[in-house]
Amino acid sequence: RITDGSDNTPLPGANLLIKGTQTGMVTDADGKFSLSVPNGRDVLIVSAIGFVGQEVTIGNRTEINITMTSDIKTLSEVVVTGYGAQAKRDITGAVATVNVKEALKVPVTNVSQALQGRVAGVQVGNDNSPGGGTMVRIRGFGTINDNSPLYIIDGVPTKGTNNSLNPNDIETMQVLKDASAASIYGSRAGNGVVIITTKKGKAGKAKLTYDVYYGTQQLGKGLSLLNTQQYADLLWESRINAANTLVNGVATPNPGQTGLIYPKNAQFGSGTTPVIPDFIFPDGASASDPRLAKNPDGSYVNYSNDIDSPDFRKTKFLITQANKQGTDWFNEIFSPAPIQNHQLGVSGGNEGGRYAVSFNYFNQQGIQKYTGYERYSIRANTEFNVAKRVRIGENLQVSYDERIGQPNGNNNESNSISFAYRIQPIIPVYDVAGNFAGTKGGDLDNARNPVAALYRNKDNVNKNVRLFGNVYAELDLLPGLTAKTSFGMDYNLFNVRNYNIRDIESSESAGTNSLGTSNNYGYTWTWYNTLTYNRDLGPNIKMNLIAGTESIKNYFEFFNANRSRFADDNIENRYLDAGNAGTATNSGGASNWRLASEFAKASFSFYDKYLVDATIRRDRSSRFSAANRTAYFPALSAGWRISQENFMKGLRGIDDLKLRAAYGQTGNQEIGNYNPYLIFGTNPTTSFYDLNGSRTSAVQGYELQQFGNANAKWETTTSLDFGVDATLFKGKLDVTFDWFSRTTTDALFPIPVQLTQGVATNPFQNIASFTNKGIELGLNTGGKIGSSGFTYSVGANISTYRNLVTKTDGNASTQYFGFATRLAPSNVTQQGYPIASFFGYQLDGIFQSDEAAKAAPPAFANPDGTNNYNRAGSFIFRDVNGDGKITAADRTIIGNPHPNFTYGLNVNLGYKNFNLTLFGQGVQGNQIFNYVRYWTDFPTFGGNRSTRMYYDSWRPGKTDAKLPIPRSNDNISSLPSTYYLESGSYLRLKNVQLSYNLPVSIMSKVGLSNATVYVQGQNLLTVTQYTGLDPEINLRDSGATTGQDRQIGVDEGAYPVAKTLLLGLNLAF
Amino acid sequence: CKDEFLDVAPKAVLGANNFYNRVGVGYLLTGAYSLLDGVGAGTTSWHGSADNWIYGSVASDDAYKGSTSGDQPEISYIEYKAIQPDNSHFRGKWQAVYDGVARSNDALQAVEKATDMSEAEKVLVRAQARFLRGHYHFEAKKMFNMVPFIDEKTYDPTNLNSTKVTNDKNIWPNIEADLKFAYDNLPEVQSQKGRVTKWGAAAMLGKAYLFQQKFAEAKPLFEAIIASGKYSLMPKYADNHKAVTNNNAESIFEIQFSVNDGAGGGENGNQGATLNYPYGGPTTCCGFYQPSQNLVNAFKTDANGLPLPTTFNDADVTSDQGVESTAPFTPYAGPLDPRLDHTVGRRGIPYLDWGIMPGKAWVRDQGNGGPYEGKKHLFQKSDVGTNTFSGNSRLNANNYRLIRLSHVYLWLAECEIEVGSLEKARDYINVIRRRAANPDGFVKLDDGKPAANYVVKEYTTPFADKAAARTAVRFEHRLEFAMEGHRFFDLVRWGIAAETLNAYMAKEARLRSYFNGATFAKGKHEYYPIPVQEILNSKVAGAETLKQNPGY
Repeated sequence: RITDGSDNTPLPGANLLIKGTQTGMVTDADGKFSLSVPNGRDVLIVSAIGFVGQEVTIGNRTEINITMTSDIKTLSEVVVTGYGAQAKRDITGAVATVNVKEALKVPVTNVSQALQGRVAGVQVGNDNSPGGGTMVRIRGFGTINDNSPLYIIDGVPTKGTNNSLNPNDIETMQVLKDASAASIYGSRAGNGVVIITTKKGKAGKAKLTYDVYYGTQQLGKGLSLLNTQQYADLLWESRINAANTLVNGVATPNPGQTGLIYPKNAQFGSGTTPVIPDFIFPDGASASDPRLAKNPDGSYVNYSNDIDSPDFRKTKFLITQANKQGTDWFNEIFSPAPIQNHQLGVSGGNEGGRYAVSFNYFNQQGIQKYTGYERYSIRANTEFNVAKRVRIGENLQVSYDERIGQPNGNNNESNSISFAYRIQPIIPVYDVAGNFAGTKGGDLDNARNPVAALYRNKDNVNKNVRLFGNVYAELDLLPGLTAKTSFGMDYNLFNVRNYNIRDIESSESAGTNSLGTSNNYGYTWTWYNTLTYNRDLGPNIKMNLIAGTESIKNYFEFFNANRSRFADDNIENRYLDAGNAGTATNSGGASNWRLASEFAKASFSFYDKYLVDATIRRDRSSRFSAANRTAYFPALSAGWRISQENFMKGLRGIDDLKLRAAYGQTGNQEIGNYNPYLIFGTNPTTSFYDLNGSRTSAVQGYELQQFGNANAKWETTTSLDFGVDATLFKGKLDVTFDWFSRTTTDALFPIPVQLTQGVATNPFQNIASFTNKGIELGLNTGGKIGSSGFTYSVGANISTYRNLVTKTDGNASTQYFGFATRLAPSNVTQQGYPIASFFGYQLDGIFQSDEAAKAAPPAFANPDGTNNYNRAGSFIFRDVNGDGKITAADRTIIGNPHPNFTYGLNVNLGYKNFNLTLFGQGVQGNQIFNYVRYWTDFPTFGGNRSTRMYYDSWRPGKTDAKLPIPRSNDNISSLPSTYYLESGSYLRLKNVQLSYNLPVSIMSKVGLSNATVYVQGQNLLTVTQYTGLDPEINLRDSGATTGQDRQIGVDEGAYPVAKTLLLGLNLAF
Repeated sequence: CKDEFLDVAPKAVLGANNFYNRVGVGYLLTGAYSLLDGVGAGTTSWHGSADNWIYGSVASDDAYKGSTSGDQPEISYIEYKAIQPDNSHFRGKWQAVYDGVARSNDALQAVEKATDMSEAEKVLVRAQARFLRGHYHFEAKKMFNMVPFIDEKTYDPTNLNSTKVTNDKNIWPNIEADLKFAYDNLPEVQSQKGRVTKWGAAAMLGKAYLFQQKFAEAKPLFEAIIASGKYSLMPKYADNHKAVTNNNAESIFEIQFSVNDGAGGGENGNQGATLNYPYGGPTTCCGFYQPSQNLVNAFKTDANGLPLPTTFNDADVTSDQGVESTAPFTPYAGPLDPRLDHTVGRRGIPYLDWGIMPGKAWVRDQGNGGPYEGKKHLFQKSDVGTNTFSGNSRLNANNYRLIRLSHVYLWLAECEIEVGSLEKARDYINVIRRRAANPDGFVKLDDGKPAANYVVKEYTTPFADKAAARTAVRFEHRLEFAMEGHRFFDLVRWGIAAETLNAYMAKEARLRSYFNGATFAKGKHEYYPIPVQEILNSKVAGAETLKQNPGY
C-alpha cells in the first residue's frame, strides 16, 4: 500500500516498476497494489507526480507499506498553462506556481489575497474591509488603463476581485508573468494571467473532509487625535493668531486696538482661554441652565427630536452633554469581530468517473461595527469516462454572498473612518435621551456621527448570486491527439436596497429619508475548442502542439430606482412602494462586448536539453472599429538545460540548471465597450431644461456624451525575460531568477481634451509608452535536521520593478493628473517619470523669523508684493523654477509611490506532529501621500486634529517644528506638498500558525484518517514608520475602474488591516 | 466566428445622424438651453453657477465667501485676490460656458442637415442657438477677457483638435454678430416662457455694447425694449426673487429652474447655489455667500431718502456680530433703503416667510463670515414641497433673473449720461427708486408695520454733472442688483474695480482678518486667469494655442 506522507492518505495512481524489467502497475483507489516479483528482481521503483521517487527493496516481505514524501522541488511539477499542461521542467517562460496549501493557510476572502507575498513580481493590495476589493499588479504597471491580470478558472476567464469564488476549492494556481507564457491569452493577457484549477476528485473511495476555523479580529492602530481640552486650546491658539497681528509669531494687538482679540465660540465661550461647557446643545449651556429642566421621571422637559418644528433650537433641543474628556471615536467605531469558515468536501471516484463536491460557509464581520461579509457556496466538479476515448465533465460553483460595507465606501471623506477624525471630541456618541448625538449645536462643524452612520447602514445589504463554471468534453482521436470543447459561463445577479435614515442630529441633516434600489445582472460565456497533439518524435524529441478557437460574449444590464419621503423607517417599510411616488426617479441601461480568437502553440524538447516554445494568437474585439479590430500576438521562448551538458556534469552541487529566454507580445483592450462611437445621450440631470417655465417639469434634451475614436487600435506589451531555474545540493535548494523588461506601446489613454471642444467622455487614443524593468528572485529550501526529527522549509521571494513613462503625447511637459478631492491633484503621469508620481510643492522647512520670511521669494503674493504668505512660522516653499516668487508654477514631482522592492518570506518548522508556519511580507522604498493630514493637521473645517498638530506646530523658538504656526485662516499651508509624503515601507508578519497533527493511533479509532488542530495569528506585528492607519494602501482599489492607476499611493483613511487570532481544525475521514 | 459576431452597438444612446430632423434638432437645442444654469457640464455645480455668485459677488464688495475658513479655500483665494491660474473654480466656469458653446454648435450643425424643416423653422432654431452661443461666449469674455470664439464651422466633434483656437483676438464682434442675428430673427413673444425672445436678444446685445462702452449703439436697443410695451416693472421689488413670480412682467431673460422633474438629485433646481443657505432655520447647509458689512452699509439713506455714496461706509449698520441668539439685540434704527431687507437676512428682521431671523443660530461661523445671510436665491417656506426638490429643499425653482426690465432702465440711464441727457437718466433711475419706495413692497412685521426704518426717495434735483450722475446710477445698480452676481463685472466695466476693492478690503480687514494685506492689482485682477490646465491641453504639435492673461 502506498500512502501520501503529508497526510497518510492512500495514494492512488502511483506508478510501480520492477527494476530491470518492463513489469509495472498503478496503485488503485486505496493506494493498493499487488505484483508478483520475479526472482532476483526485488527492487521496486515507485514514482508519483509531485512526490520524490523511491527505490524499495522488497526482500522477503509479502506486504509492503511505502510512504511517499512530497517533492519540494518545484521543477518536477506539472503545471497548467494556457489551454493545456506542461512539465515545469520544460517551461521556458516566466511561470510561477503558488504553493496553494501554504497560501490558503492564511484566511482570505478571495483568491487574489492569497497571492500576496507568495510570488515574486506580484503585488497585491487589499481594501481590508470584509468583502472589499483587491488589486493585483504583476510586474509593475504596463498601462494607464486597467492593470489587473486575467484569471482563468478551469478554463473560464474572468477579471476583478472575485470575492464570490470560494478560494478553498483551489487545487493549483499558476501565475503567467511574461508574454511568452501568457500570449496564448492574447489581448487580455497584457498584465499577466493567473491560472486556477479547482479541486477534482481522485479515484478511490469517498473521502470526506471538514475544515473549520473561528477567530476574532481587532483594530491594530487608530490615529492619535486630541481630547476635548487639547482641541479647545489649539482652537484658541489658532484663532488668536488669525485675529491679531503676528510679530515673529507672537500675537500682538492690531493697529488701533488696545488688547488682543479673543475668539468667540458657541461652546467654549469668549474668554482669554476656552471653557469647556456642561452641554453642547443647547450651545455651551451650563448644567444649571433653566432650559435643562427635568421632568419628575428624570427626562428633560425641553428635549425634542422634531427638528422641523419652529421651536426647535429656540426652546426645544436634542439635549446633549459635552464629553469633557473627549470621545475616542476610533474606539467607538471599531470593535473586535468574529471570523469563521467552514468547508465540507466529499470526493472520490472510480474508473467510470470522479467527483468532488464541496460546501463552504464564510462569515467575516468587520472590525468596523455593523459591517461584514458572508458567503455560501457550493461546488460540484465531476468528470465521466463515457466511452473509452470520451470524457465529459463539468466544474460549477454557485455562490450567494452578502456584504455590508462602510457607508460611502472606502477612501472617502464621507465614510465612517473619515468622520471618526472629522468629528470633534467634545461630542458624545449619544445624547441625554440615548439617541445619537451629533453636530447640531453651535460651532460643532459638519461631521456626521460615524457610529450613527454605521448603525443606520447595517441593513443595507449588497446581495450577489454567481454561477461560475463550465462543461467540457474530450475526445481522444488518435494516440496523442485529443480534441476538447469547453463552454463556460459566468453569471452574476446583484441586488441592493440602500436606505438612508435622516441624521437629525447632524448640523447638515438630510432633508428626508430615501431609498435607492438597484438590480443588475450580467453574464459572460466563453466557448473554446482545442486540438492537442502530444508525440515523441524519436527517443529524444518531444513535441506538444495545441491549436484552438475561442469566442467570448458579455452582456450587462442595470436598473436603479429611487424614492424618498417614507412615512416610517421600519425595515419592513423600506421598499419603493412605501415612498412618496411623486419623488420617484429611475435609470437603466446595458452594455456588451465580444471577442473572437484563434490560437496555436508548439513546444519541442530536444534531448531534454534544448527547449523551444512558440505561440501565436489572433484576437478580434468588438471594442475596436472594424478596421482596427484584429491583432496578432506572437511569442517565442527557448530553454537550455545546461546541467545536462557534459561540461557541467562534473560540477558538484548542481542537480539541475536551466537557462531561459523569452520574447512575446500581449495586448490590452480595457477601454470601455464603445470607444469608437460618437454618442449622444439624454439625461434629466444634464440635458433637460424647463423651457415651459413650469417649475416642476423639464423638457427632454440630448447632449453629446462621448466623442469616440474609430482609429483606436490595440495596446501592445512586448516583453523580454531571461531566467534561470536551478536545483542545487541534492534538491535542497531551488532557485528561480528572472530579469524582465516589459514595454507597452500604443498605450491607450483618454487624452484630456481642451474644454472648448465641449464636455463628453474623452476617447482612448493610442499615444503613450511605458517600460517596466525588474528582477525577481525566488528561493526554496528545506529538509531534515539530522535525525532530530526536525524538518524545515523556507520559501523566500524578492522582486523589483522600475516603471517609467517613456512617452505621453510626445511632449515631455504634458502632465496627466490623477487624484483630486479637496486638494489639487497630487499624482501626475508625465514623460520621464514613473506613472502616478507625486506632485506638489517642495518644502524647505519653516521660517523662524519675520525677517527671514521677508527675505525669501514672496509666496502666492501679488506682483506688488502684497498678499505674501511668508512670515515667521510659515512653511518655506521652494522656488523650484527660480523666478523669484512662489506660484503654482513651482509645483514639481516630489515623490514616488512605487517601491524599491517587495518581498515575502515563508518559514515552516516541523517537529514530530507539530508544525509552525511564519509568513511575512513587505514593501520597501515607496512613499504614501497621507491625505488624511489635510483634515487633521491643518485648519481645514472644524474637525478633530492630530496630536502632531498640537505638539509639533511652530511656536516662537520651536526650531524643530514640523507644522506651521496654527492660524485658523491659513489656507496656504495645506496645499499639496512634501509635508504629506511619508515612507510607505513596511514589514508585516502576516501569519503565525502552530498546528498539531493528532497521532494516527487516536484518529483511526474514530474513523479519521487525519486530524489537525491549529492556532493562528494574523498581522500580529507590523514594522513601519507610517503614521496613518495602515501602510498597506499602496494599491488602493480593485482596479476595475479605469484610471485608478494614475492615482495610486494616496491614503484617504483607508480601512485598516485587522489583527486576527484563530483556532482551526482540519478533519479527514 | 464571423465578423458580425463582433459588431455591437452602444445601448440607450444615439448617433449623430439620429438628429438631422426637426425633432432631433429640438432635442439638441434643449440640450444647449439646459446649460444655462451652468450645471451639467461635468463640473462642480458652484464652479459654473449661472448667477456668478463667486466671480461676480464674492469677488466684489458685496459678499464674503462665508462658511468656515477652511471650507472651499479656493473661493477664499478669489475673495482676497490670492488668485492662481490653477484654481479649479476658473476651469469649472470655463468648462460650463464652453460646453454650452459646443452644444449650441451641435444644434447649429444638425439644423443644416435637417431635411424635414422649413427655412423659417431653421431660422428660428439658428437664432436661438446663436443667442445661446453669444451668451456663453459673453460669460467667457467678461470672466477671462482674451478667449477663443468657437463657431459651428470651427467645431468638429470628431476632430478633438478642431477647437484649439488662439485667444489673441477680441471676440466682441463675434458675440455681437450672434446676438444681432438672434435679435433680427426671433419673435417678440415665445409661447414657451423659457425660450429667448427678440427682446431678450436685444437686451443681451445692448449689454454687450455697454461692456465695450458703445453707448450710442446700446441706447436705441434699450429704448426699443421699453417702447415695445411687452414689459413692466413688478409693483413689488421682491417679486423678482420668488419662485411663484418666475417669468413675470419684468423678466426679459430668466434662467429656468425646475424640481421633481425626474432628475434624481434635483439637479435642475438652483444647484449652483447649493452651498449658499443658512446653517439653521430654512436649511442646514452650508452657510456660504454671506453679504458683507460694506454692502449692508450701502443701503443707508439720508433724511431725503437718498443714498450716501461717499460716506455710507463711515459707520456700520448695527450688527449682531458676536451676539448669541439668546442674548438681546436691537436692530439698527436709522433710515434704510427697503431693498436691504429683500437682499440681506439680518437679525430681527423677517426672513422671507420663515419668521424673524434669529441671528447667530443660523450662521455657520460668524467669526469667519459675518452675521448676515443672503436672501434673493432662497425659497419661501410656502415653496417647500411644491417649488423645492423632495430630497433636498435647497434645490428649488426660484429662477435666476439674468436680465429684467430694471436692468434695461439703469443701462439706459448709463447711456443717457454718456451720450444723451442727464435729466432722462435721472428719470430712468427714479423709475427704479419709485418702485423701491412702494410701501406695499416693504418687509413687514406680523403687526403690518415696516420691519425697519425704510426711507427711499427719488432724485428730485438734477445731477450736478456727469460724474455725479455716474455715481448715482452706479450706486443704484449696486442697490438694485446686490447679491445677484453682477457687481464685480460692473466695477470692471466702469473702470473702478481697483480703487473700489482696495478701499473695501482695507476697511473690511477690521472685521474679516483674512483681508489683512490683501490687494487688488490693477491691470491684473480685472480678469481671471485662463485656467492653466486649459493652456496645457491646448497644445498643437507641442505648442500652446492659448496664452495666459497679463499678471498671471
